[in-house]
Amino acid sequence: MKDTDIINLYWARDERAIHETQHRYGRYCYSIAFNILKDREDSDECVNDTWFRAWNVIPPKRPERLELFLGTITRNLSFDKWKGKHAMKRGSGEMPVALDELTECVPDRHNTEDEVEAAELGRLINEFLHTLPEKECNVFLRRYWYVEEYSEIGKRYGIKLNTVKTMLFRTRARLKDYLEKEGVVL
Amino acid sequence: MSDQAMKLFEALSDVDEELLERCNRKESKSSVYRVFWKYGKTIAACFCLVAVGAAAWTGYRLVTAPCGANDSASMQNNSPAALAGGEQSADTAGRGYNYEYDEEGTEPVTAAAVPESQASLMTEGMRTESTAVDDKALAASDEAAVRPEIQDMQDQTAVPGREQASAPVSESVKLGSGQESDSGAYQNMDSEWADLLEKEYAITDSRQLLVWEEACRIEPFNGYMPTFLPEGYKALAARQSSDPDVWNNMIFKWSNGEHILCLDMTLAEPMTKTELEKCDGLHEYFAQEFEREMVPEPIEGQISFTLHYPDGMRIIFDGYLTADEMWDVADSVLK
Repeated sequence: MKDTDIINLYWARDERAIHETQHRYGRYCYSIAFNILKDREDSDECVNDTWFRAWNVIPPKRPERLELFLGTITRNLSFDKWKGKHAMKRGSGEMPVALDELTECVPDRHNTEDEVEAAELGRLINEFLHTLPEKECNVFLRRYWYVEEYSEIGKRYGIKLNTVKTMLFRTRARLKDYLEKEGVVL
Repeated sequence: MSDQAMKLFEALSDVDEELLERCNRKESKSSVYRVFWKYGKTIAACFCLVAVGAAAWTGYRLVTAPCGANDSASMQNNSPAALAGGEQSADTAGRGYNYEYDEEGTEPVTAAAVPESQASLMTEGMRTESTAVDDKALAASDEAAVRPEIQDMQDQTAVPGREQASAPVSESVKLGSGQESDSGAYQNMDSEWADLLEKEYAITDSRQLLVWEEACRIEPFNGYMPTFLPEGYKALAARQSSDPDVWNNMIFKWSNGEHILCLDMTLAEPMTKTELEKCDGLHEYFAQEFEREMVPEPIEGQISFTLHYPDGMRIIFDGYLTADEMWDVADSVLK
């Protein structure tokens, strides 16, 4: 069933929408959740919560790309769950490592009064990603959006592990420079 | 992990969908191209090896003519072993070299390996190139003695690829084989040379031996060949990974019969200053900043250091040389 048909089921408040969504995007959303949470039960819960949330927002929303729309919901839910479980604690899996790496991108300026708003930060990161060559951007997103392991990224794009690491290292440095030039304070 | 890092992570949720879609895209044309390139290179490399082997064998048969000093000189300079830097890939004509000499290094120990007709051609300081020269080959070489191509081949002393080196070769350096070194030293080197080559053949890692001549044509590595070698050193072997996916590494080895000078070349992303500082290796430098004083002192006679070039080439210099000699080698590599 195509995405438009599934969305039409949501709009028609037909519960088959959930079933079709699960059938088509269940594995995709599960992999996003599992990369972050590294726990099957929690990942299943996040995926189910994703369908619930999709049901609540469609309508009025009519997402153009259903896969990414659902993936984003799953990602946000998974990250919230991860924060709740691992606040102040260092957990296992890729998530703590990925966050440690992102710490390198935090600009050095500190000003508690002028912290940038989340929406503005999202816009700036988008702008930054559009300046990157396609491969660097893809690798960056696979690491920090999908929280994939280096080896998986290397396998996906046919590049060596060290090349993935070098690429990410450089991109993080460039992101930090970019955010500093934009005067971003986090 | 910091709150700021979490903010960044959350902000990534607002990434444009087209960027996410692009990174989700399955390998399409580029992977097809990559698959073709992966196997196409292997097939092309095999074809080149077979062609070179056939050409070298034909050339050898043409020049082995039973005449005087001229032919012995041509054998020395234009034999497959000479063209291959004293060694040949096992994939081509096979290991047809007999390096077992008597103490004086003039006559082969294994009589059966060298036919009498060929043994008579051997002069002081020369080594045979084949363990089995059949009558047909001898007849062909007789015919070839009067053919002008042979004279052309006799005139060829330089190994292709090395002309690319811009710096003139020092008098103390004879790159590759075909060198007219002191015949006494050459004789003493032969059995040791054979041992070194045997060891090269015995290495069973993922790297395969290449014909030296062909190895010297492989870009971009051929642009980093040293134009200076310490006295007595000549080409020993070149190796490249047998995995077609691993194309960015080559190893070149030279030897004086006793020790080996090795340049291990890898092409990767250019190194930044921060990355270099984080390197675990003790002696890693940017090539353009490398000075004589930075050459590490030998440890038990061996020096090893790594230079990173602006285009991403990384070369590990390793050898039993003095610091001055190693500096001269490194300095002669294109910076």
